[in-house]
Amino acid sequence: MSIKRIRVSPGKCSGCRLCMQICAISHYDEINPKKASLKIEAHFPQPGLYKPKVCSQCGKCLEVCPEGAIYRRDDGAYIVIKAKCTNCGECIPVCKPGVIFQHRDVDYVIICDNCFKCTELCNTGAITIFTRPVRESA
Amino acid sequence: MANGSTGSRGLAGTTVRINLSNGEIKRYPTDEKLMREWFGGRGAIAKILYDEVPRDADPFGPENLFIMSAGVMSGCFIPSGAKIEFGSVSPLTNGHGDSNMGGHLGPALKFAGYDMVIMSGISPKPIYLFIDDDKVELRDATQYWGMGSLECEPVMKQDLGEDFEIATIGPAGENGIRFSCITHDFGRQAGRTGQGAVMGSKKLKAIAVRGTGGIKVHDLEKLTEHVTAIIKRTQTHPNMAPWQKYGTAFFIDWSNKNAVIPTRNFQTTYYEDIEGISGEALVQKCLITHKACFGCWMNCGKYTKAVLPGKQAVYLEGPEYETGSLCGSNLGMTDINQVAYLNWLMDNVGMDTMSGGGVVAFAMECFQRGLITSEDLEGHTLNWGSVEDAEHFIDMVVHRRGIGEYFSGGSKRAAEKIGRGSEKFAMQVKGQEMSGYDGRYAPGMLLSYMTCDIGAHHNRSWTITVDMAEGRDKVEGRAKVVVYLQHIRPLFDCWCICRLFWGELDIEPEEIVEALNYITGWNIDAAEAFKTSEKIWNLVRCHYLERNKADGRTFDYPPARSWEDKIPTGPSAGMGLSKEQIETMLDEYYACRGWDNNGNPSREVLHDLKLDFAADNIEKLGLLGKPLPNGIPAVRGERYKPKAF
Repeated sequence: MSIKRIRVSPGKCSGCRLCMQICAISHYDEINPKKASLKIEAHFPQPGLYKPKVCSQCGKCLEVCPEGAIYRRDDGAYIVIKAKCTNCGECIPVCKPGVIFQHRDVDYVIICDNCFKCTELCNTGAITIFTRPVRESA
Repeated sequence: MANGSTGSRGLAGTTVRINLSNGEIKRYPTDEKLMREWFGGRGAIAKILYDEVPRDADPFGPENLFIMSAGVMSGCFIPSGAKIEFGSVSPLTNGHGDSNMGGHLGPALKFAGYDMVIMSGISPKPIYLFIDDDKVELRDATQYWGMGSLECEPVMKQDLGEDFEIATIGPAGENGIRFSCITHDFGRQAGRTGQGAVMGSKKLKAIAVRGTGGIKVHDLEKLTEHVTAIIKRTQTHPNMAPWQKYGTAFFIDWSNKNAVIPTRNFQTTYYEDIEGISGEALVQKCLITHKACFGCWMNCGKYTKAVLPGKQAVYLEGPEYETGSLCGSNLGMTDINQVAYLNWLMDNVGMDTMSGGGVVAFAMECFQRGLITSEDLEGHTLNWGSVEDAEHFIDMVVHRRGIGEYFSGGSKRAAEKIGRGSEKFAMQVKGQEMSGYDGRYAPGMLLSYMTCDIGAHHNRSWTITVDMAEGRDKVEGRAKVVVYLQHIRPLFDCWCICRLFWGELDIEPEEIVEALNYITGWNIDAAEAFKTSEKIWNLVRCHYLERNKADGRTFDYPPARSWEDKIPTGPSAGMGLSKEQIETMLDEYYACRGWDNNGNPSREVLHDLKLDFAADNIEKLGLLGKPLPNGIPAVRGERYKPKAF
């Protein structure tokens, strides 16, 4: 058993947003980076830095969800139960990296589901898969 | 409507027409037939300009159109699918003009739901175009007018929101400097043919776009599979690492070693101080971060900081190759920080660093030869290698002070004023300054500049490696390769994707056409793509002839330095082309295109390309090419795979 999440090396990102494209394609059959579960903050003209923002798996969204519509999967991902989510948005302001959001095309909040498609296309090593084994408890 | 709700197969669905004179904004369903037959982007723009702009219209007048198009592939899941194409009748060349840039604006326009925006008229006051999904508005830009391009972008982002994609012009565009550019994403430019000057003439300071919709394509599953395979396969291509590290600046050193780098206004082709301005110097001294366009895994953009004693530190993207050569060796600069500072300066005032570098170099040579003096320069000098001199001169040009007025129209117009033999070294064709390669010992490259449809520009045909492989003093057989390149390379400007991945990562044209078919469902082959590109090329040629009303051949000559001066120094010392060789190349080129020996397209070739209407128009002016004695070639141009580097 292991926990997996996306690891970010901010200095390596070149802001191409291929990760965001493939994320939206994989989940919504649509080319629309505004539906991606990660985003890239651009800090220009100074200092000149792209910061990928990804789910840190902190679990705050689960804690505040009034509907019990979010659960933690064994690999560490926080999964939205679409049928239960009322799109109330309580989880949005507590998300520190700011990657939980609503989109007018869907009636539930969008949260990263650990598919890691984004990491497959990153050509700079800015986002990679981080794996941490979990000790089996007695 | 916007947001792609009616769009399909790569298109966003809506085209907007705006009359800037009265503020009228109209939306139409995008003309899918036009997109299919003219391939969107450059092609659709060429057709609209040809059909709608009167032949005697002043490029700075209300009848000229200013068009932006995101083509059929921009914003789609395709490597480097990031471009946006701008077009208008060029104030620099007085022919069809187009120029494109990467970054994120093209995709944003599609995501907002629009394929094309066509603007006419002249606004009574400074405005900017505001697009936020369904909202399309002209907004007051008085507060931004006068700002530098690079300074304006962050202010507008602060005012509107970080997620708006913004394109701006600078004071050069506002003041009608004919080689002004459009700037976006803190250092991406549509530099050529003076598109920024046309924006300025229309009082259009900026374009701001936010789009939250998606793009639907014909077969997303196959597109994703196909493109993912291309990306993964090329991640380990041997050219990938140097591209990612240096971007196009890699070629500074390479061009010097191969003796094609323009030095001190193309006086020689080898630069003794190359080390200081090389790609390595850029990475070591200036690089902050690599910077990619939307969807591109090559990240050739280099975001940098330039520090010069006594000047504020400046942030910019670049210098890439063209700026590095034309504002580097071509101005005698010895330190990458000097080149980067001039890059920033020209970006910020809003002039094309290519034409800008060419114009400053031309003025420096005029100063070297005593054709202009300190008296003309408000007491300043204009010496090779001096940033201060260049900066002062650029200020005179941007504000059209004194002799700066002469140069505001480019080096050709300046030479006409200065005279005294200066025409010989005004390094331009059709009014547009040459790119950063000297063609005197690279005949295909020289022919590429001579015959380029928008004035001298390498983007349409780049043959340095062809010249090296086929013989640098041999001119025979070069025309057919130039014609082929002039068909394949502009296709990328039609589809609004970058061409670099094709040239550098061994991606076959057929693979790109396959992606095009998955996006559009057109189901075409590469041969049809080339022929459509040829049709666009010929239409643009006819447009040029109709506006300038003389045989095409008269416009296709480079300045006399190209044959009168042999290369004086470096590995190619003593080499050069003769006038006869240049004539031979033109003869071959016209025959290869199905044009007559005066450089005018024949009815036969125009008919074959379904351009009978254009044949009728040039015939009325006495400019229809005579029938070719042996008929036209069945296929124009010969496929050639240039070696990357």
